[in-house]
Amino acid sequence: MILEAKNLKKYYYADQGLFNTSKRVVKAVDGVSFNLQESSVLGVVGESGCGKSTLAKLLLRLITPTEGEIIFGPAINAFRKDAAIVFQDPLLSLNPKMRVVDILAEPLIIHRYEKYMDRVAELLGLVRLENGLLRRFPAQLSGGQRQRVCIARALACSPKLLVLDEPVSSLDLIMQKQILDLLIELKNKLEMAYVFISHNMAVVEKISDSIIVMYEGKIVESGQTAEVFNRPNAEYTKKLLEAAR
Amino acid sequence: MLKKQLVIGVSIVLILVLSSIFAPLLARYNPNNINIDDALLSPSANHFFGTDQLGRDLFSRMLYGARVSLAVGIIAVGIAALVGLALGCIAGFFGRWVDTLIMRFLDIMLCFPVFFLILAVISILEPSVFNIMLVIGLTGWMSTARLVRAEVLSLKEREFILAARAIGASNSRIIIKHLIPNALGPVIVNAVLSVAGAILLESALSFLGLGIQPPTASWGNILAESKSSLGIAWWMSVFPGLAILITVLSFNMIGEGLRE
Repeated sequence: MILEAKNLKKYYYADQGLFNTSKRVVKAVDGVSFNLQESSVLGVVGESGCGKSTLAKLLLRLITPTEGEIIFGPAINAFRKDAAIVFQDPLLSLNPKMRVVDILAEPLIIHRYEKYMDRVAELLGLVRLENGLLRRFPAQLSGGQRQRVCIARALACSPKLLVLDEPVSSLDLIMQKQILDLLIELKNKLEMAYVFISHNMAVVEKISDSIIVMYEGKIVESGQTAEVFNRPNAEYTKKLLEAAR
Repeated sequence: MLKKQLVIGVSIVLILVLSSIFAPLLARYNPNNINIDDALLSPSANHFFGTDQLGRDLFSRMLYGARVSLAVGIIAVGIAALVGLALGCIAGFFGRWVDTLIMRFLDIMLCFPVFFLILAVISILEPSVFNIMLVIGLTGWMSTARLVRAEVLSLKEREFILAARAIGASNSRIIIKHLIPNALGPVIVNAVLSVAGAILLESALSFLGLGIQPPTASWGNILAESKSSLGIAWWMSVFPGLAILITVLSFNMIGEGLRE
């Protein structure tokens, strides 16, 4: 096992009323538990606002859970090297003032790799970007190229766990397929486990081994991919599947 | 149109900077050389801008004065920009009590009329060029700090900062590599616009006798010396006044041009 989430909760409190008389609680993630095996893919589906992205940030320790815990397997020891994340919008998740080469070199410099330029060249090859793009700024790249840069940055320190938060939803259909194929290929080549978050059922079906369906912060259904798709139990899953057709 | 503004501003400042650097080559007289026989000569082919009460060549004094005035303006603003950038970044990034502490200190600084604060400090310290730069700089960082703080507050919520955290970037790395480069644009515009203000401030201080001390020339103290012979030697006040006006105007033009 590479990752186990136990009863994860993340609540946000918003002041309400004239004199903060009442506090409104937003339960972004509300008691989520699951396991992830090494080199496997867990799909997380649900509509926008169901807490998927909050879950992604929790898994990467970018925010602290209100309750519950995440236990990482022995494969994860240097956390910031062994776990990585790719966000939805590559333009927003790349520093506009940094060139591609600096973006890719940054994790390597932080983790004190020697000869990091060799590794940068390797990363470019992994995500099939041309060397000529190294001197460019993110604004000078196409959407697909940007997302490849984000993926390459996430792969820099050879992570064992990759959290993908809607990695293809900002791209057009052809790009979606290309990036998805690339992600499947990379997973098999580099033996990583994915947590693949998406609202797109077709995309999740293609890449996931097992699936959890989230609604309002809770898991409403979980199981093997084929099982969930063929024999959905929860009403909400059925609705999602119907909407995708 | 705006590009034109920028080009004109930059060319004038460039001419001023170059002529102050090459002052020894351009000046035909020693700026501090007293020659009572030539006192208060009006502008002529020998003395382009005329001479002052002590017979010193005004053109030469203005060239050397440009060095002092420009250096004070630019370095004081540099100090102000650095302090403002650092404090604004720290306040915006760390938030909570650090933010409150820095911003309340900033409010206190804003309560003092800057000019009188500078007058008070300079009258305690000695009015050397270095002290004047330092004091103008340390009383001018507040607007930059506010600007940077606001910029950092919005930048730090952006996803690329989260991405940097995810790859293990430290706070100092995030501030230096990710926040500052993205917050720098408005800081530079603000700094260029404040150079004009700092030059005026130095001139005003020198005019009151608390700025650059004679015999060292600065545009402000040439102007100050002119007031005793205002009625008989118009050139003594007009030329330094014009120089200050043109410099302030061109720095403002650069600032406005950059803003677009």
